[in-house]
Amino acid sequence: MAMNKSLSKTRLIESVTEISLLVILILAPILASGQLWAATPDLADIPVETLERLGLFHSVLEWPEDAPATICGLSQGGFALLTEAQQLWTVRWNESQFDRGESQSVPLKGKPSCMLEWDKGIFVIGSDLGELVLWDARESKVLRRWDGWGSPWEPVALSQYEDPITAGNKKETSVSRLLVADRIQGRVLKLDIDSGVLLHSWNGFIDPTAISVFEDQIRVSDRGWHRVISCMPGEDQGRFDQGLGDHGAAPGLFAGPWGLEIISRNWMLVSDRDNHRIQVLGRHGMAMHHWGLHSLIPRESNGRLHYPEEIVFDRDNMHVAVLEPSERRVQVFSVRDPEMAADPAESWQRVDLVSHFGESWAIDHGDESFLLVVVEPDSERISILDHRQQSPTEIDDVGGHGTKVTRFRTPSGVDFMHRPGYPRFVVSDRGNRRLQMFEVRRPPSALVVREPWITAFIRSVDLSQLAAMTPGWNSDVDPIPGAVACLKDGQIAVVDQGQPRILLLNDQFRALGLLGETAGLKKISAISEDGNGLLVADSSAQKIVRLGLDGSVKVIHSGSVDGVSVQPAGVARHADGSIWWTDSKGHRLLKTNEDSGETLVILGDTVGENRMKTGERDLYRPAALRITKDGKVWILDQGNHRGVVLDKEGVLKHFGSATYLPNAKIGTPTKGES
Amino acid sequence: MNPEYEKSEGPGWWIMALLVISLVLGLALLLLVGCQPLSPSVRSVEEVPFEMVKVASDQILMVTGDRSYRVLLNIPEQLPENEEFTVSGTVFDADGPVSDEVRVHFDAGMPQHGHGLAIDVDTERSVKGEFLTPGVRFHMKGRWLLTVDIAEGPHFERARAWVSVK
Repeated sequence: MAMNKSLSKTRLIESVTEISLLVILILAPILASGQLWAATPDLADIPVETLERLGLFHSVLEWPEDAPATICGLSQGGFALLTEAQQLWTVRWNESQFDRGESQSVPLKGKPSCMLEWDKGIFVIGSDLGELVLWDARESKVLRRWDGWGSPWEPVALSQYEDPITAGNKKETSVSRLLVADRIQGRVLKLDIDSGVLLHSWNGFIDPTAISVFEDQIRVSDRGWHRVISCMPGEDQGRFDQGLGDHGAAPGLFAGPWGLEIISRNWMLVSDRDNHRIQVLGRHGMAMHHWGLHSLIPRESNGRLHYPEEIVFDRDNMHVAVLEPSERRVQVFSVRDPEMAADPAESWQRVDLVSHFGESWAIDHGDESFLLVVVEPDSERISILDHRQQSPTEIDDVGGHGTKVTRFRTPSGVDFMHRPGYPRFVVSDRGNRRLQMFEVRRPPSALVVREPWITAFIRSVDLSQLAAMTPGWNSDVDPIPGAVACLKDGQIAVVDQGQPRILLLNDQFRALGLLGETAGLKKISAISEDGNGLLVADSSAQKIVRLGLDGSVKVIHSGSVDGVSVQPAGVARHADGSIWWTDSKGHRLLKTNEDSGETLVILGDTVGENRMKTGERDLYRPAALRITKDGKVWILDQGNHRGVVLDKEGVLKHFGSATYLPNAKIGTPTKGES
Repeated sequence: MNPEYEKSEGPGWWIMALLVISLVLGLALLLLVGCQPLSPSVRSVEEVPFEMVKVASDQILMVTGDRSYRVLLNIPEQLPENEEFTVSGTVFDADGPVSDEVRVHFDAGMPQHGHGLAIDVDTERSVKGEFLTPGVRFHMKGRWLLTVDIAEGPHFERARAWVSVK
């Protein structure tokens, strides 16, 4: 009996065990899948198959007369756009297209730099002169205004973050905080929006461009690091070593990452500005998909991208709005139909970065002048060209992304020195906060043969260290070098973009002094040597100013020309005594008589006549300007990727990308315009 | 029957003479162009006086671009291919050997081939301006560009010289 009882007990235990195992076997996959599902709810929201098909060109919205400056998403779908003339537009999805509503004027001191819808109809707006405004679009009034915290700063990106409030170990609730990226001091700030109190900051950024928040993730794109960087609560630095991406053209790498939208727990969109594409990246950096390709013909849209910056993901309508300030437009992309073939451009494999003329160039001052050096922002290089041919020929280049000597992280200015012997040029490097000097060891008589070694590095200086050890240069913010001008007496002038002032150094990069601190300058975009002084272009104050080395200040030009507001981007004095300058906003070359104050339009006076702006007398966002001893005016026609040379007889010569030259045969660039 | 052209007169002697003269002139021009050096693909010592001057058979005197520093580099006269060796040297400024605070880094590369040393090297500073870089290996034949970087406070300069691995 006892044995039978024992047997039945054993059978019972075996049965229970078998049933348990059976239950576990049946339930385990279900539970596991449930767990998986719970862990990745976003995949249910936006399936990977959908993300893979993002990038179908839908439409384009243009603001040809007033350049768009910043966009942000709206809580009820669509996006808001603020122009340089401070007009706020709301753009809503209406059945099958985005429609612009009425615009309203927002009073700002400077050019809008960033925007965020804080609450329904309430916007936080930043400007390049270091101000933040809380704007009620329903009542058209300013609710609050901050001018910073006593030291120079410039808000360039905004986001909203739910800061958890905990009691003991238990999370109870959260409070909304404002995150602001400060370009000047390279940091991300967490602010209390009601009081403006600074609660926390993450430091160590070089050139932050966007912030995006999803649940507890805070990520920041930085075009100096060329990475997307995480900020963790409680830490005081971004996690730069763990950042996603680096400099390059392959999928997953960036050249100037700008707009950033985390669209789910695992996926984000990044606008890869200088690679002219939008990338879909996984949270661990996996490059899933990208779309976009540099416009082949001027002003081309139709899905082609040209320096895409901010992006907005409209989850309700599954659209991506991409702001291209250089083309004054927003392109809208949607999800491609599964049956529709992908644009060949999407599957095109890039092998290298495309070379472009940047904002700066310089020409050597020798009696037999033959060198042209050009800043190439896409590849962070300086190209050295022999300019005597009809189309300048590259003979060497220096740079590439990096911190080591001879490399750059955002080269921002260049000029040749006045000296006998081999020509030398100075490059300012905003990201590395330094100047570097190079010598081109080639006489003008040498044959034009490309050699990878003729440009020798001579010296560099770390401006942060130099400022720290120089009385009067020290400030809360390390110098951020911008435009460079080399004077005939050997002095080197460098714009400090961190605060409107000019640093003066000798030809050994030893500190000499400061200039322009009290000249009322706002944003110095260009400088050039002018005898015993400097000509200064101020893009924000709309001024051309002459600063004497003795401290004198003379305003050469101020305000609009022919009723059109200006944005000076290049300046130089002509041999005839007049002052020539470029206006990147009005696409013009202007000439001012210093004595009479009269300003004439020399080129680019064809507003409204040629939409492409690639005609012989057209310019599109002209930048640097140089005038050689023989009276030739060299204009960097940046928006057209070409150079324009105007000689004393008024004859024009163009060189650069073939499709942007005046006589290029090109077709109609756009379709689907709204 | 002979073909018609056999009866025709051949080219005149003056045409033949012109052809010969053209050929001789063409050959002479080709020889001239072919012999002309592709200046400055190989720079002469006169162009950059100090960079290639050898002080002893196993030393090279290098000068920074602005002549602020001179570097006396100890390097084998017959450079071994694909073998590790140590490079040492002394850095001088106008007052003699540089101070111990001055940072020095030796490196090398082949610009024409777009590469540096296959294995990165570290440079150790020593007293009296001296430095030592072990583990240098030129992994292929050809012209190598040597660089010595000298950093003092915020300032940074470079001396460079060419050597050849045969």
